[in-house]
Amino acid sequence: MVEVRLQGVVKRFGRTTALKGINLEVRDGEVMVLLGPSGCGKTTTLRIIAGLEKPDEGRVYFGDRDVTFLPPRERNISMVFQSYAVWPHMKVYENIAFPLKIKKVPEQEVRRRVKWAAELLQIEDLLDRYPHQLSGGQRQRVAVARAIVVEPEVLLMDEPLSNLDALLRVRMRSEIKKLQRRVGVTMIYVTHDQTEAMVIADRIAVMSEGRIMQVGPPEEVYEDPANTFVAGFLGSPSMNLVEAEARPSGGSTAILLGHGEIRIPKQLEGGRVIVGVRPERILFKPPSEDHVALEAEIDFIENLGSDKIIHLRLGDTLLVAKTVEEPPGPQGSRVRVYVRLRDLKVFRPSGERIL
Amino acid sequence: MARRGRQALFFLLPMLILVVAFYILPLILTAWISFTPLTNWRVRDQLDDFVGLENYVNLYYLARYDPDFHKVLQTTLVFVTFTLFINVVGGLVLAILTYLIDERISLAYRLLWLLPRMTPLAVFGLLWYYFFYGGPQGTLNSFLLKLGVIDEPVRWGTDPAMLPYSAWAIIVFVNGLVGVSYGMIIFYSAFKNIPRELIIAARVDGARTWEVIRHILVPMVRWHIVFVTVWQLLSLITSYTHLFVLVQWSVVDKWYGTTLALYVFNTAFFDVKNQGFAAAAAVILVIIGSILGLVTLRIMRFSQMISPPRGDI
Repeated sequence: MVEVRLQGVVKRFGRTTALKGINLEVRDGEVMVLLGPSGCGKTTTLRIIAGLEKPDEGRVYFGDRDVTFLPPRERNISMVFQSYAVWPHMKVYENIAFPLKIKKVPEQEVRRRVKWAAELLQIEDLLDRYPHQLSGGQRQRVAVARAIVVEPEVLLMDEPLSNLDALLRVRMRSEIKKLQRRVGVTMIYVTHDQTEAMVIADRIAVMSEGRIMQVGPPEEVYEDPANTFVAGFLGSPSMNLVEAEARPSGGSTAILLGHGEIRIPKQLEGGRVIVGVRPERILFKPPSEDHVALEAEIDFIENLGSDKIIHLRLGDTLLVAKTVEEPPGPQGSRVRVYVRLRDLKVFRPSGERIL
Repeated sequence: MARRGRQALFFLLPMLILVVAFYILPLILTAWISFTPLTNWRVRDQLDDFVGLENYVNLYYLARYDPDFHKVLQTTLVFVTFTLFINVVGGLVLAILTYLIDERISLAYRLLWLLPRMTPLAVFGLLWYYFFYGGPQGTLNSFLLKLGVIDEPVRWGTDPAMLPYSAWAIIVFVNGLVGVSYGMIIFYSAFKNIPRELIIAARVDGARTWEVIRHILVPMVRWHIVFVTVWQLLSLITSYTHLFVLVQWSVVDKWYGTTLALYVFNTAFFDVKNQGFAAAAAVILVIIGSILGLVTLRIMRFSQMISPPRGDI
C-alpha cells in the first residue's frame, strides 16, 4: 500500500499533447477514479502510472520512490483491462498463478495464494476451465483475481466493467469496492461512466482534454463543480446551464433569466454569466430555506417510472427538472418553480465558477 | 438436405476438378506405371505390360544393398530434419525479432528475408554456385584466401574429406534460406493478431521479454506452428528443384546432395529414364509423406485444436 503522486506530467504523441501537466495525489489505500469523456487522457495517465508509457515531462512517485522511468515489473502494480486480457491458452488457475510464477514464488505458496484470490472472487469452481468456457462476468473475475493475487501496492483498473451487461456491471461495481476495502490496496480506476465513478470512488478526478478539471470526493464534485465542464459532465440529466446577465447593485445582484429576474444577496461582477442548477434541485413547492422563485410553462413531461423529467420553458430559456413526485400540472400549464439559493451556481462565460 | 448437398457440390466442384485432374489421376497413373517395366517412355509397348511387384522388389534390394541409395536415404533424412528445423524454429525466431522491433525497420527486414523466395530459382542457384565454387575464384574461397584462413581453394560440397557433412550443410543452408521466410510471414501475421492487451497484461505482471515470448507469444501461435511444420515437412519431402540445380552444377556431391524426391525425378527423366522403377519409388514417397504428415498432426494434437469450445461463451 502506497500513495501515488504525479507532478507536472506531460505526454505528447507526435503533434498532439495528450496530457498537459497533470498534478495528482492519490492517498494510501484510497480509490481514485479518473473520470472523463473518451480522449480526455485518463487512460494515458493510467498507463504512465503503470509504467507502460514514459512521460515527456514530470515525475511519478510511489511514496518517496521516483518510479517515473521504472518498467512495470519494478513497480509492484497490477492492472485489470476492459477486454479482461485473460490468456486464452491458460486455464483459470494458470492465469491467476502467472504473475506469481513470474516472480518465482514457491509452488506451495502459489497454490495457497491462488486459492485465496479465487475464493475472494467466488471462482474456486472454475480453476480447471479454459477462458473460452467462461462467461464475460466470470472472465472479469479471473482478471481481478489475477490482479490481487500478487497483493500489489497499486491496483490499476482501465474501464474494467465496460464490456459487461448493465445488470452485471451494477453488481460488479459494488463488489469491486468491497474487495478493495478488504484488501486495502490503493486503487486508480478509469471510467467514462459517472454513476460507476460516484459509487466506487473515494475521490474523483474529472479530466478533460489532457487536464484535471477538479479533484474531490464524489459529493463535492457533484455539489460543488469547479467549472461548467464538471457541472455538465456529472449528473443525469446533466445540470441546467443557461446564459444570463448579471447586474450588481449595492450588495446584491440581479440576474436576468428568461423573462424573470432572480436576486442574489451577494455582490457579483456584472456582465454575461452562466447560471447552473441541477434538475432535481428545481422544486415545485417553496422550500423553507432562502430561495428564488420563477414563473415557467410546462413544455413536455417524460415519465421514467420512478422519476419524471419535466421540460420547462421560461420565455426563450429551457430548463429540465427532475422529480419523483407527481408533476405539478399537465403539459402547457403555468407553474411556479423554486430554487434554493445554495443550489444556484454561477459561472463566468469562460467556465470558472464565481458562486 | 439434398439441396444443401447439391449446393455444397456446386461450390466444391472447381476445386474437386483440379484435385482429381492434377492429383488423383496422376497418382493412379503413377501407381499403374509402378507395376510396368516402362523405360525411355516406350508407352505403346510397355504401358500394358505388367511385371507385378518387380519394381518394388528392385527398390527393396537397392535399399538393402546399394551404397549410393543408402546415401540418398541418409541425405533425405538429414535434409528433411534439419531444413524443417530451420524453417520452423528459424521462422519463429525471425518472426519474433521482426515483431519486437520498430515497424519500419521490421518491414525492411522481412523484405530482406523474402528475397531468396522472390529470386528466380536459376539466379538463386547461380548465386550459390559462385559462392561455393571449388576453384580460387569461388566467392567463399577467394574471401578466405585473401583473409589467409586457407592456403588453397576448398571444394566445399564435393571434397571427399569433408563428405557427407559439407554437402549436407550446403543443401540444408540453401533450402533453409528459401524456406525460413515462409514460417516468418505466417508467424509474424499470427503475432500481429494477438490482442495487444494480452501482452501488456503479461508485462504489467512482471514478465520480461523472454517470458512474454515463452508464455504468451509462442503458445498463442501453436496452431500456426502445427500448420507450418506439416506444410514444410511435406514440401521438403517432395521438393527437389533447388537440390537439382546444386547437384547438376556440381556444387555438392551427387549422392550426398540427392534426396529421394530428386532420385525419383532423376530416375524417371534424367539418368536411366526408368519410369516404372521411379514410379514405384514415388509411390513409396507418397506413403511415407502421408504417414509422417498424419503422425505430425497426431503429435501436435491437431484434433484437440479444432474441437469446438464447450461451455458458455
